[in-house]
Amino acid sequence: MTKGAGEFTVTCVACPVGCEVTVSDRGEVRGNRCDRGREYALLEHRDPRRILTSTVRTTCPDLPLLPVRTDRPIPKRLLFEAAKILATECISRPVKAGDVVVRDILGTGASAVATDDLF
Amino acid sequence: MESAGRHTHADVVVIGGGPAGLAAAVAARRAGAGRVVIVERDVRLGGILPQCIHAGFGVKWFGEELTGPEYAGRFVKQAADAGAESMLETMVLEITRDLRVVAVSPRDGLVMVECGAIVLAMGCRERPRGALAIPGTRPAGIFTAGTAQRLVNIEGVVLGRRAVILGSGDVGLIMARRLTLEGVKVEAVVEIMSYAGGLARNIQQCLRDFDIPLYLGHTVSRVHGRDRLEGVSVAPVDDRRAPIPDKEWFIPCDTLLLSVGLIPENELSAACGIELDPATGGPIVTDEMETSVPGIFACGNVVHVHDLVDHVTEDGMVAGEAAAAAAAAALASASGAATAGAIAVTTAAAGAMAGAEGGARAKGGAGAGTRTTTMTGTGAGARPAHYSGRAGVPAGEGNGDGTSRISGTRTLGEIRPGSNVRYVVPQRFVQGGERGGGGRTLTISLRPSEPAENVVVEVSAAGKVLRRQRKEKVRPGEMLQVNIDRRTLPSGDGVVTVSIVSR
Repeated sequence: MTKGAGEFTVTCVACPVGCEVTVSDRGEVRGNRCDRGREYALLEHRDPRRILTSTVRTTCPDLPLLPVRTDRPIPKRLLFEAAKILATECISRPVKAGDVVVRDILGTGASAVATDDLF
Repeated sequence: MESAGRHTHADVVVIGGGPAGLAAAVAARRAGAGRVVIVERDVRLGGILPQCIHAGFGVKWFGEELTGPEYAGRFVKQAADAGAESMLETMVLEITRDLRVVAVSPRDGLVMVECGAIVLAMGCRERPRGALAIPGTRPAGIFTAGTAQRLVNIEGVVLGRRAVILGSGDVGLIMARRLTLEGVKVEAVVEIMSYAGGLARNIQQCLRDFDIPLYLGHTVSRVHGRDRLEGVSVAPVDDRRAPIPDKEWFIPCDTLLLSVGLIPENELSAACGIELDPATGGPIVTDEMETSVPGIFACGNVVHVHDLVDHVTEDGMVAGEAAAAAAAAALASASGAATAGAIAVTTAAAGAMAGAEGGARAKGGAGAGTRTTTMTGTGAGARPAHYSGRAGVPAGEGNGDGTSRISGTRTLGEIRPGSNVRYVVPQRFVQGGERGGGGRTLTISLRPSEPAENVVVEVSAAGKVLRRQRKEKVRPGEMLQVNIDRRTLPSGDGVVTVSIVSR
């Protein structure tokens, strides 16, 4: 598949088939085998978002790291900055899976929540 | 000094507390098994899931995307709610054909459990560097991907600054993203095959999202560095997968991750004489997940390496339910077990425990029971009296002519891989059976040998096509499943073949 200037290509992850879908600079979609692929590619083109999963440090010697996730997808371009914020956190209180660890990361409205119990 | 754990009974013992074992324990309890014990060598349940902090688990089973710790947490709670017990920090040393489990733990010392049924759920381990024979030095900085995942996600170790990943298995791809987000420069993922090993979504979201190059048809041809890794040579491979020297180039790095395959963990199974399938590396199982040894079931990655935990859970549920039924059957007929065989058994069991009391002679002691099995000539001869229910059941093996009697007196049909199918699971099915978790439906899992497009997964028996399922794309990295209506299965000497053919 040749890729013209301004074209955007992504592997669709809506199902295991994994179509290579291209969005042209005029917003035309090709390569998809279904509507889900079209929607996925357009969203990926317009506003790609990801759930960020990471860890934060703790003061607990048995569990030095607490796994966390954002409670909703955040813009892909903010992943590195968000990961840096989580890298500076340290938890010294008991938390349960689902508890908020860092609220409203980078003004996205997304919070990092624990995915495991601590203490 | 006397500890309650030393010599005990359980209806179902599950070996391994990962997702397969947890599901089996939950299902066994729900199916009415009395005492269900999970034996786990780690300090906590959950298996490998606690270190898999990324999302993507549970889409099929729970209908939502969970992280590994969340998925594990749900099943740990379900197991506790269902009333399953667990023995943590307990390592199983031996399982026997007469359904005893010998284990050791710091708390209880040597433990012997007599069981109504055993479920193997030991999972798999990583293929190590030694299996690859990469030329070069032996510096620090080379890790298998799963070990790296544990170090980074559980222990908080910083592995290095620049990394190369050999192999495109899912764990390696996940680690490429994780390391990148933690500030490590991932220089390349190098895959010897012409196609990626991991799921398509991981290629996209772990590599392409971060512009990490994936070199297909390439390998690490040499490792450089004396004390610490200083770099790797990478080269394309020829059609015999040998590196082409004059096309080699050097990538400086201090960390090399190996994501080059997983091997079902079957030392216990092999030592017990359970028949293994060379294609999967795991036990040959029936559609009820029973192995060639009656009363011993298996599920999850110990049977074959899965790519989705949801399927592991499904396996575990089938195995647990069937194990509960086997244990109940064993217990029901145990009352009428005052046979010569059962008397011999008691003696053998006493001998075994005498060995166990001796501490260091544990293995010899347990072995005494096994030897009696051989001498009496029946699989159930040395069964402890409490669970001698399946007395007289032959512990035979598949005989290759299409029928086998690997389980009890039921007749088993055989499922075989056909063209472009690397393996199928289950490899046997109970003829006329309607258990196996799916009632009338028999689910066959399979993996293609080679990638292909526009194909049909075809299930046939005695020259008759039972089922055709169209697939746009198949890849060895993605397991396929095909459902068969049991009523269409052959009776008598049944051989079912699963093939992937072009459309």
